[in-house]
Amino acid sequence: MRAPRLKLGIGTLAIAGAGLVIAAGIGGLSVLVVNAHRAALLDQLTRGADQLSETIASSTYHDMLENRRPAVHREIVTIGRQKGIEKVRLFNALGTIMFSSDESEIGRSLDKRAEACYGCHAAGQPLQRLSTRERTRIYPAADGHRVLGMIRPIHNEQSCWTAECHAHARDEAVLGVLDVNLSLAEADRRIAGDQRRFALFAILAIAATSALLWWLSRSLILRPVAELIAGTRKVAEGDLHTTFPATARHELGDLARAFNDMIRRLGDAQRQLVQADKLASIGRLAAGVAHEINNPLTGVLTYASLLQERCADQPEVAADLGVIVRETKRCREIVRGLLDFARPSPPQQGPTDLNEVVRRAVAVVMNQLALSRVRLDFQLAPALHQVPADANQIEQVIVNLLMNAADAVGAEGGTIRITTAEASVPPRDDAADARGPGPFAELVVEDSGSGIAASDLDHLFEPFFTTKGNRGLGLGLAVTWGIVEAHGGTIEVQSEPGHGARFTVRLPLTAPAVATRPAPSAAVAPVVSATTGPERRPERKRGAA
Amino acid sequence: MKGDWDILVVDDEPVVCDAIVAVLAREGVRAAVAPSAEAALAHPALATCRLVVTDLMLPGRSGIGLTRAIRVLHPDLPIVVISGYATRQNSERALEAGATAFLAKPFDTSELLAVVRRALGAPSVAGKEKES
Repeated sequence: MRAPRLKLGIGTLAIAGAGLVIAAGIGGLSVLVVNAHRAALLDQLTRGADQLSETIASSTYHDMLENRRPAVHREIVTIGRQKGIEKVRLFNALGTIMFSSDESEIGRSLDKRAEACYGCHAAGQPLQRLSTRERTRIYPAADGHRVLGMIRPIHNEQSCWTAECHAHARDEAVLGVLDVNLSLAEADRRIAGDQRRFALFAILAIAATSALLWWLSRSLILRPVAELIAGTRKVAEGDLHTTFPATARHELGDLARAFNDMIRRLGDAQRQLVQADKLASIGRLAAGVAHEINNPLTGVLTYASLLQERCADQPEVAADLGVIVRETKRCREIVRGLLDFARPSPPQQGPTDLNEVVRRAVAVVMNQLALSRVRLDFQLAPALHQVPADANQIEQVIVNLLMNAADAVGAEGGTIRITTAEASVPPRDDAADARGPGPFAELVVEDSGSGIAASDLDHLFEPFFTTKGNRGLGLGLAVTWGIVEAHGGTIEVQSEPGHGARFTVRLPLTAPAVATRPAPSAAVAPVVSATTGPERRPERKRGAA
Repeated sequence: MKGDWDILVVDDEPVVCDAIVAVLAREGVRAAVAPSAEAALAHPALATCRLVVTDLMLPGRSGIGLTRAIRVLHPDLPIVVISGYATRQNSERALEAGATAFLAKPFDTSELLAVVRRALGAPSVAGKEKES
């Protein structure tokens, strides 16, 4: 079985990377500081040892000169007992220990190749002048602690060879060596302490930085990214109503905003694709249905009409035949509606006075509106620019919207307000992107009717979606949508159940030749009130030619 | 009765042909029937009739093709194209091919009679007319 691949999160990588950098930085710094400290300590000790050698040499000078050996011995032992001093001893030129604070080694001879002698005797010939560094050595003592040793050659001088003891001949260069040994135990302890403190500091710094990075990466990166991932999964599963919280002001906020924008556009694109797809399927279906059904309908309509004429003297039969004729014509209208929707004609655009089209549409639906006790309220902009549009198609749009509004108002009556206006910039960003910045002509049909349920709003422009039961085919708004789309415009609906609905159609005023010429002045039309109507609903007429 | 036809009706649907013939018969108009464009072009009525009513979608050559062919033979003969697939494109195609009028199926008897009367009344005028 394959082992699961180790997943390295951004937080882990950041913490590991920063931890390494900090560890290397603090580690390197620690080494430098500790080494400098160690060198300074050693330097201090070396100078101390040198000074001590000098002191011993000068304090024993006269005792030596006068050959007072017990006094020299006493002085060396006394000094050797002091704290931090390991051992003080004096060799003669042959390497025999003459005096030592460690009395057990007095009289012992040292090999010139021994560590203490190596500085001078390695080259075969004793050197007479040595630097401080060359006279210094560090070696481990028997119990393991380190010892700093410093030798000081005692040179022959006139007072030596002329002294009464005649101990030294004139031709001897070096008479002996003073060897001072200082313990480095205390210095080493301090250095080790420094190292521990630096290590602790480094660990604390790494821990604190890691904690900070962890918190930052969690709150700034991981949580928003997790939300984005969860959101994109929901989108992938088809939920295009997902939105990301886009409050952050940094790049992830931009990303969330970009995602929201993308999802909204995806939704729009998907809705348009679905619409186009339905259009195509319905187109194929409608073409087949239209051709197949219209031939038999021709037979039914023609023969029913002929029979009706022939039975003019039998009113009951003629009336029944009239029903057949009427219902056959209704079938014809349904099939024509299907064809209108499925094979929309490209708009024959010309300069169109939107207000004039509104008046024509109102004339078409006037009977229907009177039936529904509708009060019509016109708010037509007086100096509206002409719209490059297909007047017949736009009339159909307005007729459809007015019929819907009348249906929504219902038998109780209400108000339908028709507004035309010019808007310089469409309120929705994507419309601006798709159609370019304004100016737009705006047509609003607003009713005081029953409103539209939120669940229906999304489906309103889909073909065959109807809230009117068997009284509607569900193509009116789908056809409307198709026409507005073909004009490069937008249609949107705002509604709350019980508070009416508001359909806004925006058509671009893009053709400059048209846009600059104002339409003939159209004063606000008078309010039309109608309160009566016949009992029977008249046959619906489509606005399409 | 050869040569006595006023109108030639071309449609592959017998019920449509029969309905048109029945309506016209009441008005005293004598109609011949052909089920396809080829049959129509071979029909003796074509040489003497004063109007052709043809379906748009026919087996073999279409109503548009038939209209073009008749226009070559009889430039002034009125032709009414009828179709159950009445789109603006189809009506424009028919009129461009030389049809006098376009009528969408199913039509009212009054619509048919109006178109026929107009065509028979002024056979030489190629007034283009669209169904409403």
